[in-house]
Amino acid sequence: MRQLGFLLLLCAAGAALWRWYNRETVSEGDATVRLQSEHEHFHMHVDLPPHLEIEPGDTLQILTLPDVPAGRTSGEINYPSRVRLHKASWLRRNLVMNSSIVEINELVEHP
Amino acid sequence: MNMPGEFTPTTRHALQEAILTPRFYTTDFKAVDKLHVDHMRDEFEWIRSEFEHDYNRNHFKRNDEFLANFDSMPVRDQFIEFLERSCTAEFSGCLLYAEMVKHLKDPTMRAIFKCMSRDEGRHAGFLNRTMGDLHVALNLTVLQTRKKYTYFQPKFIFYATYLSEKIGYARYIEIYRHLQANPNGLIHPIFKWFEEWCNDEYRHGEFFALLMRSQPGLLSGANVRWIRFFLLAVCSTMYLNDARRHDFYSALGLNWRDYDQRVIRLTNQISSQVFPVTLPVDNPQFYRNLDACVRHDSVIQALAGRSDPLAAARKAQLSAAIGLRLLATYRLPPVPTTDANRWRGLKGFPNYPGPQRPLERTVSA
Repeated sequence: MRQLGFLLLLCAAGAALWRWYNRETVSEGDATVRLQSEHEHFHMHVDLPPHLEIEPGDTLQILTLPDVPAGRTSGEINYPSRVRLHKASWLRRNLVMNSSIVEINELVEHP
Repeated sequence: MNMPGEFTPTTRHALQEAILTPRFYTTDFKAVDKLHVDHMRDEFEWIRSEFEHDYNRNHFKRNDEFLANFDSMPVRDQFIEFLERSCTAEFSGCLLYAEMVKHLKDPTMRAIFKCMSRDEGRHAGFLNRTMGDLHVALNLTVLQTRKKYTYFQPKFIFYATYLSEKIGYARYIEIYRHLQANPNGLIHPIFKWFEEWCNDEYRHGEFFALLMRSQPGLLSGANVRWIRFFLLAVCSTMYLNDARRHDFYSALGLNWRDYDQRVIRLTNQISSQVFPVTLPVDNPQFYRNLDACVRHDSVIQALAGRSDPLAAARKAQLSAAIGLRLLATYRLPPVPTTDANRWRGLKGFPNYPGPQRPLERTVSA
């Protein structure tokens, strides 16, 4: 009986940790997307409003997709878009900060 | 009539879509900003003026050779994959350097990262357009997907990006030299652009070498272990990736293994310009281990389509075997850098002439 109780406690603790890890705070704002996709240059930048700051573990979503035929622009285009920032929990942020070495293949890929 | 660089209307290939999956990084920008560089400010200013000189401003111009019909080119699919991977890598570099520009305050550093972002964006654009020639449209849904921001310590970014730029240089120049000597392997004109192109990569690497030299702590003590780790990580990743794509290199007339070993030797040699140790590439055990990793990896690739427990167990066993081989390679005694074996610089490539250089070389802020 004691063992079962311990197992249930362990499960509850695991579930609580999992919930904490996945907890997100979502905020939205108006941003400007700058996109240039042509022979001379290819880049994409998002100017976020001042109250949105990206930290490790966060995810960012741009809500408006530009109407660009074949994915190519003529010069740089700027367009306003709502952006949604999913702020990671403290637990996820610290895990991302301290475990990046396992994602090192992202850094060492080269042309 | 087609203008240079427009789609070839006669293509018999269906329109494909390329989905780029660039990497998004954050780092401790405040720590990067706090790096003490004033004692080498003149050298940083010199390299900034080199970047602002923009040697390749007019290099990435297309000509009529790009208008040819590439429908029947050999290894067309692998070539498109090569373009996609290269474009993603260049684009990711462009984003990383642009993030640095956004967050750093030091005007010299900001200017340098801005120039490097310019170069990477230009390379990505050239590759992107070449994909367009092959009837590959860019799928921009990447904009709408949730972009995950990975964190790397600044020193990891310095080691990895330095090596990534230098190995990028070595890869491009080795392909260029090979195709000059063996024009039969020239399956697409883009390779003719590689000589000047790779000088951008080399120059970016020079900046990171300077940045690391300005912070001696990054090149000594426990960090030497990180240096060995990154040297091995960069070289072994390339070795395994290229082994999987041996058909592509065969079409260029290259034996992937010889090619990779030349690239690793050159990158290792160049890295002695700044690193206190390099990989023991002349130790026969070094390539014995890497070749064993390739054999294990090829079995894993063959099992990729299977998800039964037996296949999963076999894949796990082989992945562990690769890990052990890499650990054994890491433990091989490294080669210490001495004055006799240190890389002296690329012939004909501008080197810092010292603080007494002519004034006209200096570019104002």
